Amino acid sequence: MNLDLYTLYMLSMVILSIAMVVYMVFATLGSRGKREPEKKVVTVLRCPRCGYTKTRDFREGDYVGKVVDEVCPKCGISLVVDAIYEESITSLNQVLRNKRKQEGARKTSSQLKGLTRICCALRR
Amino acid sequence: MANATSPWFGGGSDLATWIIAISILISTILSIFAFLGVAQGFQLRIWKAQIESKLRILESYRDEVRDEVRKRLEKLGARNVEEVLSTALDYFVISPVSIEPTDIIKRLERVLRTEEERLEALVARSLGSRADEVVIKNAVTLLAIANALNILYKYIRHILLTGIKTRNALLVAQLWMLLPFYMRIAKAYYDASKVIAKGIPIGDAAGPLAAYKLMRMLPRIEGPIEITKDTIYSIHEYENRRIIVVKAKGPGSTVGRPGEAVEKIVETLSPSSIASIITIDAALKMEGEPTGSIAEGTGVAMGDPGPEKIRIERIAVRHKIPLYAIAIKMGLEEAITAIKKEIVEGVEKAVEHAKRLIIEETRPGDTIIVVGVGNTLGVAQ
Ligand SMILES: [Zn+2]
Repeated sequence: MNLDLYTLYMLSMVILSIAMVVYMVFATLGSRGKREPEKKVVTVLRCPRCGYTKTRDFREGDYVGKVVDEVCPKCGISLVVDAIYEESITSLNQVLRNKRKQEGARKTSSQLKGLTRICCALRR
Repeated sequence: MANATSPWFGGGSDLATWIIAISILISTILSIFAFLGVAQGFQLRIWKAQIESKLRILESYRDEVRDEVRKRLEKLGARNVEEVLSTALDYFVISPVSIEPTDIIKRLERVLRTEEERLEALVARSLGSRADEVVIKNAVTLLAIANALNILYKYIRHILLTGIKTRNALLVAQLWMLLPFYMRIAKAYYDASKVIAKGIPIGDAAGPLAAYKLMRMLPRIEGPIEITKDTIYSIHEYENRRIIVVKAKGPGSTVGRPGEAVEKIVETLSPSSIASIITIDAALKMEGEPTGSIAEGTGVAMGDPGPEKIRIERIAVRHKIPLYAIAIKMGLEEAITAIKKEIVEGVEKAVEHAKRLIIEETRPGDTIIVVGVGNTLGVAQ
């Protein structure tokens, strides 16, 4: 094993470029897997007399100002749609996915550390 | 064993020489290629492939929206659906002559109204007697989205093909660089179609929603009355002042004709009694600003191409009525997709701000016009 300085230099360049490519592939894959948070549209019903409110999932046909079939438990009069809006929900799936992503990131960084270690070992 | 690895590690300088020789050879070949324009050709091919993949996404957006409208119309028993779709998807509007500006706004209004009336009539005829106003309005809006996506798709395809045909790398490069921006708009339209098909209010409904809240909050004297096509007003009482609230007629997807409505209201009342006109509208926020924040300003808060806005400005100038504006901030995507909780909270803030403005800037006995500007999809009166 008569490794001279020149070859060592060349080899480390090659290894460094391979490491760069690997890093770039991981970075691209990591950013592609980013998903938007899941969203849900809800309808807020309000009692026009006492102000009792109730939130339920949006149903097709709902509109702000619509008098719905449901009645106020206190006054017994029909509830009116007071607002419709979109909420972001953090589902169990989402939490798990985030966790997995973090683990993935940790794995990538440990792989990179491994590569650096190999480089250093070779130079020695 | 040491000898076994000799081809690799035995003659260290040999390997280095080879690496250098190969690199010099590659870079020489590459620079010759660059001189001959081959490199640019390669680059052009990469750009082309990437633009084509985006074009396929655009095409699928357009087709999905078109199929959604077709499905909805067929479910309602519409006739000649294909004919309606082909007319609406390629419908075009020619902007008026602008080198002769006299009356340009009237001419623009004429053209825009004809477009709106033609598309509504097209859908109404196809649906026959089953035509429900809300259904027609929502179908027309969906057709307008399909039209926008179709035109965008055709435009990008046109630029790409022209660039390839004339071997204009700069044209293709420019398209490639602008593509993320176009895709962002296309995605927003595509998402909007899903929301509109279901009748969910969009972010742009912030203005009409504020008008609705005012109508529910203040004791009603009169109304709601349809004063002009798709636009209603009602009269309310607040702190010994008369508040006239104007909004598009919901819950179908329409922006109404707020300019014409305000003009008519001012003309039928004694104009001297009108103390101010307040417009509340969704406004595009700058990147970094929080969604649903509000701001007060002056002028007419309205994002129309001009004809409606100018009517309010002209009537205000003629009768010296101060113009106040309240903007509810949101992003481009937020304005045309399902209304967010932050925007609904912004609407409440805007209503409180309008009430404060009325008390601060007008006297008891005055009449104030409050206009909730925007698309009233999913918001009644
Ligand atoms: Zn109640």
